[in-house]
Amino acid sequence: MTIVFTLNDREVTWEIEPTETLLQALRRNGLVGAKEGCDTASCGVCTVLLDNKPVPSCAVPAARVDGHTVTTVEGVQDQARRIGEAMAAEGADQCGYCTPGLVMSLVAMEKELDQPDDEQIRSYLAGNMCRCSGYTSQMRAVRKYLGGGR
Amino acid sequence: MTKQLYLKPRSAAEAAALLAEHRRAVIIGGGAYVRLGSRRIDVAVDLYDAGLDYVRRTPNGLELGAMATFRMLETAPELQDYADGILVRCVERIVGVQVRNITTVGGTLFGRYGFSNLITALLALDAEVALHHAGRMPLGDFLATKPDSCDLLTAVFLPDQVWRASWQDMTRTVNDYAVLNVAAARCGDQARVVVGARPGRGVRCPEAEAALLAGDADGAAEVAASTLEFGNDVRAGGDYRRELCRTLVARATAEVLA
Ligand SMILES: Cc1cc2nc3c(=O)[nH]c(=O)nc-3n(C[C@H](O)[C@H](O)[C@H](O)COP(=O)(O)OP(=O)(O)OC[C@H]3O[C@@H](n4cnc5c(N)ncnc54)[C@H](O)[C@@H]3O)c2cc1C
Ligand code: FES
Ligand code: FES
Repeated sequence: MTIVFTLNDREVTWEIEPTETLLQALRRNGLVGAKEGCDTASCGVCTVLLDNKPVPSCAVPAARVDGHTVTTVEGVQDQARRIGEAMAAEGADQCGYCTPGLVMSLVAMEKELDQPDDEQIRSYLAGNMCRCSGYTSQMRAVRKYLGGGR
Repeated sequence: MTKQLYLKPRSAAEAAALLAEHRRAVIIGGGAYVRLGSRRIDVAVDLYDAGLDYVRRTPNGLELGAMATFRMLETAPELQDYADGILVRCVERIVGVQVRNITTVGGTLFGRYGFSNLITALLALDAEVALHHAGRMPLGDFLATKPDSCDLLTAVFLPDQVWRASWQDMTRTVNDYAVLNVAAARCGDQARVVVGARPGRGVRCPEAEAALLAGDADGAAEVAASTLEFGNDVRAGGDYRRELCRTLVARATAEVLA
């Protein structure tokens, strides 16, 4: 089936299978920033924005986004670079598999929350698993990134 | 999961017409659980564009559209103070923001999940559900009926009552499914005590409600633990749940009485 939607600020027309998830369709079309981890909506590595809200793309049917807006890590390169630098500076970037998902959640959090405290940050990012960092260095990186942005 | 046809109705009426036309169609609410299932789906009717994603005030209380997401419940201004914010409390730690942005009120109630936090909380608030065909009924009655996969849940109604309420749950790790969940509420001469994830679905405990009305938190806890049924699953054993019930009901009722 054909879907028409806004992907990273450009209108695109894609042929998809009615059975596909958004994650599968994105990766099949060369947008491999969003990763596949659990494939059960539990880990957050596949996070993209659907109508500006973070969602697990492994649990969103691709057909659902017809007529809607999707933002992936490929569409937020500037923020991704700055977040990546903060992560590297704080030693939080280890295997890096979780980073694209975390970037998307952070981009959404910045839009949604004004000057969040640590508790709010932790709660907002609770759906983004990281199997390497233990989160402490990630929190330092997030604070550094948010502080730098202000 | 194999879907051959993917339909996106623009209204509840259009969705109902599609369900009537395609007898084996499957409704997609948040889709989180449909996706995890293994059943073959020939026709999917996705409610994402059906205009059911709202939380609003009505002359008689509050109305939650079937496609209101958990994140909408968590952030809706109307729900921050309603029943001491119990609908915010009961969903705010479920997985992460991403999952709460897709999981819906309608999918949760229609799924009748035993572990469900939302079902437990809504039962304590005398919520009613509206079904396209079967009409409006108390949530408890709806849960007791066999699911009719041709019908469509369109909305949930909350009465215009000033409930004092408390939410309590226990999880093994942050963001896991509850080992037990408890909602207590009181408004004038009405009291509600609901216990869910037993692991069976949330149920009211009339004996505990009578104790709550009498101002006896410890009595409510004792009678809930001794009269309700608890079972074993991967998260906990029935005996442990019974102990937990005592503690959580005591906390919930004490909070409501404070
Ligand atoms: C990773 C993960 C962790 C979770 N953890 C928790 C937790 O800790 N606590 C908790 O309480 N819940 C938890 N949930 C469950 C979640 O809260 C929802 O209850 C669940 O995902 C179903 O909601 P949905 O909107 O995704 O429904 P769907 O998957 O879309 O649908 C569920 C069922 O209802 C039907 N349906 C959907 N909408 C309607 C409608 N309007 N009318 C009629 N039928 C309909 C569908 O056909 C399907 O049979 C979790 C879910 C996931 C994916
Ligand atoms: S791959 Fe989607 S949440 Fe884990
Ligand atoms: S850096 Fe490896 S999962 Fe996060």
